[in-house]
Amino acid sequence: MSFLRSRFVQAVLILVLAAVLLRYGIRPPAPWSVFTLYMAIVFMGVLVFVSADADSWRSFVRPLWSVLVDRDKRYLRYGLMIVIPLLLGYYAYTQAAARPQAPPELRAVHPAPPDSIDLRGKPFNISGAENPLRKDQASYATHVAAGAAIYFRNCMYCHGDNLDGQGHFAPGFNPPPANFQDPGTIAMLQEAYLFWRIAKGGPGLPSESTPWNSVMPAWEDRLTEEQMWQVIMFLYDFTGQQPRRWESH
Amino acid sequence: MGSIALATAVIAWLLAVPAMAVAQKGDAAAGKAVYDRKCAGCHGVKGDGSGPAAELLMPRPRDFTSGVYKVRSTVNRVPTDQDIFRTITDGMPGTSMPGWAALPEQDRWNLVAYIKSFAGDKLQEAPRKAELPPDVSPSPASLARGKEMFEAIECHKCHGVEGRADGVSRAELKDDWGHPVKPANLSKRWTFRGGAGRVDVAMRMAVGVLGTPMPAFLDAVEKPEDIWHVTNYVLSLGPEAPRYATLITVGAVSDAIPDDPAADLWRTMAGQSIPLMGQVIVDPRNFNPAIDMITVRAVYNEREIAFHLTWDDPTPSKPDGKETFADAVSLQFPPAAAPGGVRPYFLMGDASDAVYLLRWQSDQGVLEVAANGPTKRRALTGGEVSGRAVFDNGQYRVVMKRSLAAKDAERITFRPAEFAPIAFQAWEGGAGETGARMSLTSWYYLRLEEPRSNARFVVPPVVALLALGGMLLIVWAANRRGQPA
Repeated sequence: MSFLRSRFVQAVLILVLAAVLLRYGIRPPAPWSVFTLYMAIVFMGVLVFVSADADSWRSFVRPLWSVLVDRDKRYLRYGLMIVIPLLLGYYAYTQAAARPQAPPELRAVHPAPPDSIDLRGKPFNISGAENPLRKDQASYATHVAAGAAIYFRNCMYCHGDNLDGQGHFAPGFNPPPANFQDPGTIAMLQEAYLFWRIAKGGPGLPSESTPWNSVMPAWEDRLTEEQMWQVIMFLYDFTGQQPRRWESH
Repeated sequence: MGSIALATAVIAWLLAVPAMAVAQKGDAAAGKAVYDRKCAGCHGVKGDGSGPAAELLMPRPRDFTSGVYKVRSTVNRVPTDQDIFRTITDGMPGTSMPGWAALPEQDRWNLVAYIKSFAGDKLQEAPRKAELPPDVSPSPASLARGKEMFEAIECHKCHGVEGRADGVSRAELKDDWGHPVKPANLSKRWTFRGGAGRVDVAMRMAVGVLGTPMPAFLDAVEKPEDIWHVTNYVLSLGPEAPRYATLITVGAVSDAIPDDPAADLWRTMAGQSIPLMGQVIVDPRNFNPAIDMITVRAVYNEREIAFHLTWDDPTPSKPDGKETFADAVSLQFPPAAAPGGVRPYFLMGDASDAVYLLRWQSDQGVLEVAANGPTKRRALTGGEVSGRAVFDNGQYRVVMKRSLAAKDAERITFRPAEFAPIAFQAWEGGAGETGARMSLTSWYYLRLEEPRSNARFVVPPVVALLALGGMLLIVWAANRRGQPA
């Protein structure tokens, strides 16, 4: 294991280990830009490490120098002089030949709800609103069943039988339909927020969500206020999520 | 040696686990709890296929009390538990039945047990596994024999000559319950109910699809291996899966653009396929759209832009204004780019923002339309549009041409290297689609490609030569300096 004492081998090992850890050790995978940034930091750290004293630096440079000048390394030298320009040339080709992609659509996924909306000509307060059907615990099962029927007749096509956003129309639309099973959706929202999104749909998204492309219909045209609350109850009941509560002041 | 033996043991164990799962037995009572939550919305609490969504779905959800299963690998009417388990796990492509692989495996076995209990004694008989003849790999000879048999056993009567679900008896097909049923589009393998794999296709052919007019062919073909020849032929009719585009690229050409949809130019271009979905926002809603995909090829020259569209439609419709309407497609654009990327409402705009439609209609040809919503459409006149359509074996190919520059502010001007929003709409008039009853997409992007520069052939050699030069310099300098200090 004497080769492990070489500073050069150590430096290479540290870099490889860091690359493997950063690429495969982080879940979900870090974006490429983050990966390159972290690797640059590791590389600088390695440079500091190998140049800590003169002996260490010499140990690091020796194999590099040997490849550059030693007669018995000449074939390795010629090989590198072919392989490295070819790799760089290939990289330049991938960059020059790249075709444009559709522009990214940066949008606010959960825009702030308005304080109040106009619901079929009547003002309706979103801020602080509670699901009125939850007060009536005796009819809980009835409301959830009614919500299920509404869901399967209207929402299933996009949001899916399993409420996971994988309905059979889902592959055709971007942004994809919301996945209610994901803890990042209804579990972190108040029921009033859902009411607003269901009532107003894609057309009711505020300007910070542009360029919006949502195909979510405005359900106030088709469902009554009670039906919308019922379907909200079904969403939470089916997924086992709890709505976020309004903070008490 | 020890490590090899250990590895072998581990691999053997890993292989054994799925095999053990096959033999698992479900618990019907535990299955009921899962069923009532996950399945009853379509199949109904009583398992009779009459859940709240049932009447909106085509094909309708399975009535489990019938004991009839489409996908099975048996020669009698009884599927194996594994058949049902697989249908639950993978779903039924092309229908609203999703795959339930997200459910724990034990839950799915419990569902198998519970679902079977709906059929009472109809599933008492033991399933008898079908034996497929030995596989025949695809070859020109096999494909030729498959095509011959495809006609001999009359596959084309329902599935059409090119397999596009346009056979002559298509309109009369009914399932066992008297509901109209569509033949499979053999060029869209990803919609096959029982899966797109070789063995799946061969098995469906061999034992048929129960409850539908699709018969079992195991004993109807001349020689058993014909099952595989026809399978090979069917698999050659289309790709295994669609590759949908996210950006529509319009290629640059310098010559005149042909009107003829069958011209060589179009044949040499790769198609860009876009999935279409039902319009379920305004009445009449379309839960079961007829046209599910359009393939686009597009080019422009210094004067004109042309779109070549391909889509499957079983019949060229002759509109009677009552049940049958004109077949049509629209390409939708915003008339002008708005600041901040704001676009008109994707469903043909609204009262405040109009959209521009480049439309082809089977009875009127290419049209230009301005719309402020699906029902508020105005024909735009005085433009220069042209185009031609051909209909061939269940498929339309249409070319629509227009000048790059707009005549007025109601039409879009196409500019190279800019992203322009585009959306698609389609109507199958023979299926009663007209007006708001259509299939559609939301906004995509369209881009007129600049004529490609030669940079991709020039830059890489320059980079490689510079790198080589740099390396030679380093080696030269190192050797001149001698040993390191």
